[in-house]
Amino acid sequence: MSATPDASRSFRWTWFRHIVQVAAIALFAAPVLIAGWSLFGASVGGDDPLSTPADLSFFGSLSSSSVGGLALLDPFGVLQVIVASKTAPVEWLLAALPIVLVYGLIRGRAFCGWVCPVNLVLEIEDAFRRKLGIEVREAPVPRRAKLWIALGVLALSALTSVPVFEAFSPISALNKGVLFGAVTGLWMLAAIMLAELFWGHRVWCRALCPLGGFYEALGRAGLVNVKLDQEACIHCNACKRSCLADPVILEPALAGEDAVVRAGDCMACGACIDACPTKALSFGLGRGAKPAETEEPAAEQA
Amino acid sequence: MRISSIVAGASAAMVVLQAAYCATRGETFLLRPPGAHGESDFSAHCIKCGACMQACPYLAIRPAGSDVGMAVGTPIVDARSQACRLCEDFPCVAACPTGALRDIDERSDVRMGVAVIDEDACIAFQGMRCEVCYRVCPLIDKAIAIDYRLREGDAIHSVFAPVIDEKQCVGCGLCVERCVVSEPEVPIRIATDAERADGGEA
Repeated sequence: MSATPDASRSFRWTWFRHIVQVAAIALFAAPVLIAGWSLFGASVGGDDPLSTPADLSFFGSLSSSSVGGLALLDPFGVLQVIVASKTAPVEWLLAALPIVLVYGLIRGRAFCGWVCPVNLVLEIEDAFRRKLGIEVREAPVPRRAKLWIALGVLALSALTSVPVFEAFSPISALNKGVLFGAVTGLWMLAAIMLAELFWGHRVWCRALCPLGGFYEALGRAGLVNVKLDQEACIHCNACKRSCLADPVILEPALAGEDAVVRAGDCMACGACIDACPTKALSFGLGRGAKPAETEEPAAEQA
Repeated sequence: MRISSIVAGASAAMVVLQAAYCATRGETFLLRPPGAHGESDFSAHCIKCGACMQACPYLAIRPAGSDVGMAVGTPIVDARSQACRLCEDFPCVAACPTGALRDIDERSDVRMGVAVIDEDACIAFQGMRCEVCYRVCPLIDKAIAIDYRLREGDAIHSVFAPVIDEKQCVGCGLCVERCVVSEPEVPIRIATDAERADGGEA
């Protein structure tokens, strides 16, 4: 349970973020409902044509959507289709580009923290687990595993000529389950929830999810970063205990080696900012170059 | 940490079992929406985004269930419950963002499969004048025609037998949806090209 050290602090990023997470689910459900269809694929068609979500100026899923005629595609899905089909039409790249730009400019894993429905479900599950007092391992799988899993997914997609993650994605189970009753990845989601309840703390999002791995790679750029005011920090480690990604990503900043949390793992979820009793952490725009102190000793040694 | 190891093992086993199950279920023949170019081309392109499902004004396109292995969540048409109406403008094809459905300008470009009639079960072949499949066919007199002929060994009665033109039938499945016979089985169904190439076993 994260304590609220500063009761006077009224704004909490975590609550704002939960609103955005729910809004993201509602955003994709809205066109289905506006078209007069039921969620979970419960509607049935008849002999006369019905109006469809695709008639509206916005509709889609997390894999692909259309905004006022502009096609958007999940960039990791596009990568899988490119290697699976061995073709790369410009339209696919153009449709993935806005997504890459938005998350690239903000922060790759802002998707994970602010949009992904699996993260929301697993956050709720983790809070539930803590209430029950079930102990789990902190980092049973190294956080960089997801990068390799992402590469493995692409290799396997090329090998089997099938976009592999799309067949197992627990994100599909939630997103497309709500939209049209697809059961893709439902087993995967069940396995993940079991693993996180009894085995590894947030192990899917932190270490395993290939989409998270893709966005981790993208997260090496990004302008929205958690910055640390060294003067205000009292090294209580409340931030590390609250981190939704991996607590070790805060260490360079806490050790004074970096001014911001630079790791691509950071979801910009704001949990550490909420948890900080001295308001030493805040979101900052821009990241600056990695400070030179870390390089100087190496140069002296050389 | 004994229980946690068991749970970790169980979770991993669930994933591995599902993967193994998927890998062994490759040969199911699925009726795809218009514009699919064979199963291997389709499965290489489809990201299961559901755009075609959200574009179908008849809600004929549905996500495949968990009984089809890797194809779970891909769009299929269950012709018996809701067949493809062969819209003139093919909104499903227009909606597909990854080219899994493509290259359809008119109805005759569609190649979902071909209707196949089980002559032992079809009541028309038993001497009843049914003609339902013929009358509902969007390509009436092209894809399905009625062959009027004298019943075998019967000098008085005729048979009004529906006959499929394999070159013109596009496999929309409306005949399957409307067929009046369901016991012991529906005597008409859509066979995909892959199934026909495989020897016609369902």
